[in-house]
Amino acid sequence: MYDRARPFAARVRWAKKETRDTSTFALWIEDEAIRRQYTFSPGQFNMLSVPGIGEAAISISSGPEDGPLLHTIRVAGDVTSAISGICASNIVGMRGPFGRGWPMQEVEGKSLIVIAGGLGMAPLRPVVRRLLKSGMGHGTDERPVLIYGARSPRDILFRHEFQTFGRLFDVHITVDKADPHEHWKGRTGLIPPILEEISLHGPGTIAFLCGPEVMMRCMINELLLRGLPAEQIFLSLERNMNCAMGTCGHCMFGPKFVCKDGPVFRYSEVRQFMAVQEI
Amino acid sequence: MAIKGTLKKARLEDLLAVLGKSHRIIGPKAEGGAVVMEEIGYKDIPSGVRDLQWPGGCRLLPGKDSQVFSFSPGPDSFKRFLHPPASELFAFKRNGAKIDFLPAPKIAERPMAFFTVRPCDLSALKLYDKIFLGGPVADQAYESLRRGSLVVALNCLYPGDNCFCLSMGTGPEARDGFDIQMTELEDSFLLEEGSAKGAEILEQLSLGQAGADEISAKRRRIESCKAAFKKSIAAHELPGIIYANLGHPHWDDIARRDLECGNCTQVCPTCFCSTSYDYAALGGIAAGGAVSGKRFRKWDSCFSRSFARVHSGNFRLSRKARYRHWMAHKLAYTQAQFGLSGCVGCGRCITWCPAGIDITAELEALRHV
Amino acid sequence: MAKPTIGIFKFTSCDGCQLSIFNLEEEFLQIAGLMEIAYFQEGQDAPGGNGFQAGAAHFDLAVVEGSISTELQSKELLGIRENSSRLITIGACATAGGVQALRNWADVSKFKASEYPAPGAVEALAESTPISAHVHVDYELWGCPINSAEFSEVLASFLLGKTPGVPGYSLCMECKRKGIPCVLVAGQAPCLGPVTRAGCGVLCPSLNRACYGCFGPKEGANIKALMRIFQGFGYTENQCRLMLDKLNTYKFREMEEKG
Repeated sequence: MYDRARPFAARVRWAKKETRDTSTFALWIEDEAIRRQYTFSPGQFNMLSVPGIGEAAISISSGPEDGPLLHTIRVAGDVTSAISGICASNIVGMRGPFGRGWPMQEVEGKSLIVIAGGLGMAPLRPVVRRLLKSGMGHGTDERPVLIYGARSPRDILFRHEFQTFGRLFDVHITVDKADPHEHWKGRTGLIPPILEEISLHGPGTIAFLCGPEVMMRCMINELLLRGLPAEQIFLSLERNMNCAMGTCGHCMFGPKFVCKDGPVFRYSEVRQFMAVQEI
Repeated sequence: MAIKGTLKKARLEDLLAVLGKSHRIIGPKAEGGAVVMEEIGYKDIPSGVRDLQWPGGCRLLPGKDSQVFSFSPGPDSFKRFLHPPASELFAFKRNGAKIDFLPAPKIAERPMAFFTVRPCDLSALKLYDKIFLGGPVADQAYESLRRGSLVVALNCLYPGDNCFCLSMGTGPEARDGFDIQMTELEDSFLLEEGSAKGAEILEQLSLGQAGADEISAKRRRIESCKAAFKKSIAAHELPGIIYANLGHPHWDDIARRDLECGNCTQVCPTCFCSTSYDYAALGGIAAGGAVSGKRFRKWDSCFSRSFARVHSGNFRLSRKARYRHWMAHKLAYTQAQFGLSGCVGCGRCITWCPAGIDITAELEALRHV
Repeated sequence: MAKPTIGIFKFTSCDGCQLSIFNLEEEFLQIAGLMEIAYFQEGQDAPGGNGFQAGAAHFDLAVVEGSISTELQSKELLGIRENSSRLITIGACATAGGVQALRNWADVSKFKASEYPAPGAVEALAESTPISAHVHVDYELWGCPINSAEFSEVLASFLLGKTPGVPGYSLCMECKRKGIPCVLVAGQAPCLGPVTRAGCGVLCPSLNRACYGCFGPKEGANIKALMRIFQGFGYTENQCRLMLDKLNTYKFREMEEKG
């Protein structure tokens, strides 16, 4: 097993601007031995670093079956700014993969509802890709649902892929607000009203959520009211990751280490802590 | 048959001599009004030194006790040596499209023998092994220091005024996790093997016969120690009492007294939190853009304001939330994380808190207020 | 690519922080190699007045020592800010008003009258204020004087484009890492360590002396709680006030009010 505390070199194969502040980077692990050992599942993340600047936890936005290893990064702090300035053929440091991803095996036989807000679409993209690959064969006649909310039309991530996603998923996109000059013909407003329009089959449904915590809290309440068991709601949490191996303590959420017990949690595991402020 | 024997007090030096052949001896030493832990020789042992500890205070008493080990644990523990306050994780070099991450140089020093580890700290060490060695990939820095180390435990015969290991179920008697255990008797030490490595050490000493008298003397001394405890904690109600009271108003009361200086976390033998960061000095920056430097890991604390900070905000902005997180981690979360208590009852956080905040009293307040 | 320009300025201060820059010795020469030192009076052979003219130059980084004590200084500071991409303060004076801010809680006209033969010639403002009270500051480095190594890290961070990793936690954290027995707990000394920023390398406690707060209040310092402890040791309220009223009084008082 390769060292998880020391980064290995990953070369930027290509970089693509998604929105004004977010880009996707395709990375290639330089060391052949590590590349062979490296496997991940949807929802896991890597620690990407620019030596001298620091390190940031970035979820993997491609599926395990896809070719290049994609990371969709929003410029927020020093590390993400530094990475955003790196061009193709340059190198970043990578450690990973880390964490527990989405429980793909639990989707089998249930109708899936994917709810993403903002950058939260990035760790859910591999889920959508996986299902697209496997087609309708997840044991239910229901079309899976994908609800995505972005700040504005120009903040929509993977905008050209939703048509493809729509081949399998019942896709609903909304933006918080749209300027008139953007000629947005889609929906405006928050995510919850969309949920009201969707028929859910209570215990037969499984939900994956990733986005701002306020949005997730609100949607989880809705889902519970609509009869989804807490055990069938999964959410991906964000905390301050430093070591990514459960030994530095930064990312604790109650007794959970978001880096190794998460970032994806079953709602029933974390519900008691989600009710406590500043846990 | 496990090796057991007595070593005359006057020959204690022999034990250190044998340990010292293969190991650096890390043990107690009186310094600056406290008993600290350092690499020591026989003469450094603060024989007969007594101490007084109270919430927010510690004093070494004048005069000598007839016993060798009459002091309770000071601020240090094995933690300083196995999880050093600052260590280099790796070095990096970035030059244009080329980046190297070079492993930290191996520490060539001899392994350490921890001399007179108290039972509370044995429990903390067991927890540390789970944290740093029990994951899918072991922490290499910890592993390289822990491998080859020796643990010589010392049974406690006097509880310190802030000790509450008895109620925590971690002391005052060593049960496992040591290579040798020592019990101070009238004029000798009873030495008992705890592992094959410990037996090898004991075989090199000329030990006296340990018979029923010595065993019963040991029992008597430990029992009288148990009877002398002044402090206890409601361990039987843990972790439930914490989980049930995360919204208790008493946290606000603690926040008024809490200095959030982080001392409790630094002296706690189970607090393991750290921050890793890249450091490049001016000398590591070349005009052409090449950068070289190192990633260091330093002890940190959940009391640091920046600890739960992310770019978009801070998950624990209030002092109350930071204190609650620490206490909940000690008394509830660690149990859920590693199956062992995060509090071993050593009382260090009580003594070394300048505000004298007493974790046992705060738990009582949560139970009754 | 052109080297970034740096200007090092001073207002009311003792120059000790600028001397700490020289104390970097060889590393100081590295600054010269990596940056264009465009303004640094302290580092010049020839004496000069306050030679900086607003608009005369652009600085990628302005480093400011000293507090604002006169009207003219506040104007000069605005000029520096307008001509600088980034501005950082160094030391207790620039970051926290300095020891001269003690006058903020006294009557400066009385000082003028008692100390100077021609009080009218003294242009001092009634208050000495930190740079952040006048202009936007990108980063504040604490200390009286600053720690040279921290300054070097701040410059390196500027060159790398990242926020410096200088800690905002208490001095106690540094003491414990170094294994210095606590002078407060083991010596009952009135040590300001629990409310003071780490950074000095525990100079005083390592010599068995109480910290007197050179590095200013740590992030979230609970000053009232510490003063209650000192009062428990027998210090009067006034004695406690005097412990805080030193180099960083402006910021200690500000933090104390916040609770």
